[in-house]
Amino acid sequence: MIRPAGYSVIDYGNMIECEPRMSIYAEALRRAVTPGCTVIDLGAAFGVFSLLACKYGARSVIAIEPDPSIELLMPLAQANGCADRITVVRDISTNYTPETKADVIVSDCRGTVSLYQHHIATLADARARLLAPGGTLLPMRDTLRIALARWPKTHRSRTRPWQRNNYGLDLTAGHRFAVNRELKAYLKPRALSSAVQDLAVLDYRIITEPNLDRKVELTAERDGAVHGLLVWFDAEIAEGLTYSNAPGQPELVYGQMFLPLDGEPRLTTGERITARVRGTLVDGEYVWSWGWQVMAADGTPRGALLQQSSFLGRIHSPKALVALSNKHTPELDPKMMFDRDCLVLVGEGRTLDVIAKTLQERHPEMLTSYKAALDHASECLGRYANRPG
Amino acid sequence: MLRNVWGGTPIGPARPGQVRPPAAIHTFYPGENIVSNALEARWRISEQAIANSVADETVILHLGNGTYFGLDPIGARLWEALKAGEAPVMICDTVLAEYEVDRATLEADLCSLLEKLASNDLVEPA
Repeated sequence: MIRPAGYSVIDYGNMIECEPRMSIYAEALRRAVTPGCTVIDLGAAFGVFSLLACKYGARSVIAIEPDPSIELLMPLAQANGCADRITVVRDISTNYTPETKADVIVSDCRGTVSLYQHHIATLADARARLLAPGGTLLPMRDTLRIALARWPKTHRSRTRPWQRNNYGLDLTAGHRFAVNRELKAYLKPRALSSAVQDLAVLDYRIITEPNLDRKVELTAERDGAVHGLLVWFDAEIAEGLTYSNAPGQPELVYGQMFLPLDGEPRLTTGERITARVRGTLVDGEYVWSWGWQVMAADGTPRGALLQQSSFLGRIHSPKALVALSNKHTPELDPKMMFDRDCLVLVGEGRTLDVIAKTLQERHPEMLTSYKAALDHASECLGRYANRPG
Repeated sequence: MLRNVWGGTPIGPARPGQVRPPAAIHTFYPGENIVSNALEARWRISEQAIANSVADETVILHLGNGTYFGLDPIGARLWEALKAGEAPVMICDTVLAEYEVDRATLEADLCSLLEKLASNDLVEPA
């Protein structure tokens, strides 16, 4: 599944104006859509691809999106004269079973790189269950690229507060968390310190594996400090229709992914950084790990192997994790009791007014007013009203 | 999630994981000296494991199957020893000095933890 994106209308406006992304997708749709065909818009957001598919002649469009933003689609469809051809499915695509399979599936569920949340599994499922034999998948293929990069200003702003401050405090324990977080970047070609290498090819027509584990060797092409590994993707939406978020290309909504190198290693031309880059999908989000070592030009190690990971950038609460264990026995707390009572009353067909009054009667010490009880009941039910499916 | 040795009841993975077939410690250390052999052996951290320590507790993530494991302070101390290339027995004297526990219990608990770490592909014999 792709989780509800939580983008704002402003974000969606930026996506509409994100070029060449938008025009490439539009052209790919124009070529793929034939009169009378069926299109699935996967992770449709507010449905701009659905509207374009109708404009290019689709007979039927299914827009699948768990986020409330999809509610904007039908007014837009009415304004564009195609509301009768669009079906909205406010859910995740893996819950959806079509009456007829689609001739075209279009999606753009990437983050700074194409490995984002359940993107790969979602497309693999859609390809297997929702796409007609011989159908078209847009996008077709992404290639991830990687290079050494300089980004001194941001590197300093991330690390300096933990190394020294004006108050005589030792904050160095925070440094490790600061340097183990991937960043969204918009770097220019002059920031690159090495040649570009391929990190992975994601062919959406065949891919099933969501995790990445690759080793690369990046050779410095100039002397100086290196601040991180920069990763981006070259997208092939359809044959001959491409765009990229590479340095030097027009800035796109995705940005690039920057993996900071702790210690700001200084390299001379010809020295290398060998790196093992891993992207592991854990609970719907990627954990990025990058183990790296500086190698002299003759191939001998210069310095220790350093393991970095976005996992090390998180402040975990062991107690919170234990609470997720299958061996954990949860204890009923007052908030759970409110929820339990609230849901039982819903099951009995009570109005929100009756639910609030009953909750207040039962828990007067915690819910000291009718408004407090009503707020709690609304919040409890709102969690269900806003979820997909 | 795994929580050991002094953290109470050991608990299993948070979710049914694709945990690899156990590399059972007993297959490496047959006979009556299982405990002492396991504690005197050298272990290395699996390439699949990455550990994050906050305060005196440690959370380990298995990168292959996305399962989290938790270690209490003494489990964390064992982990640091393994990471430094030390045999598990190296932490016994320090722990015995700090905790009210007899050597036999301590060694059995450490051995039990090592077995769980190995069976979950978090450590392996060096």
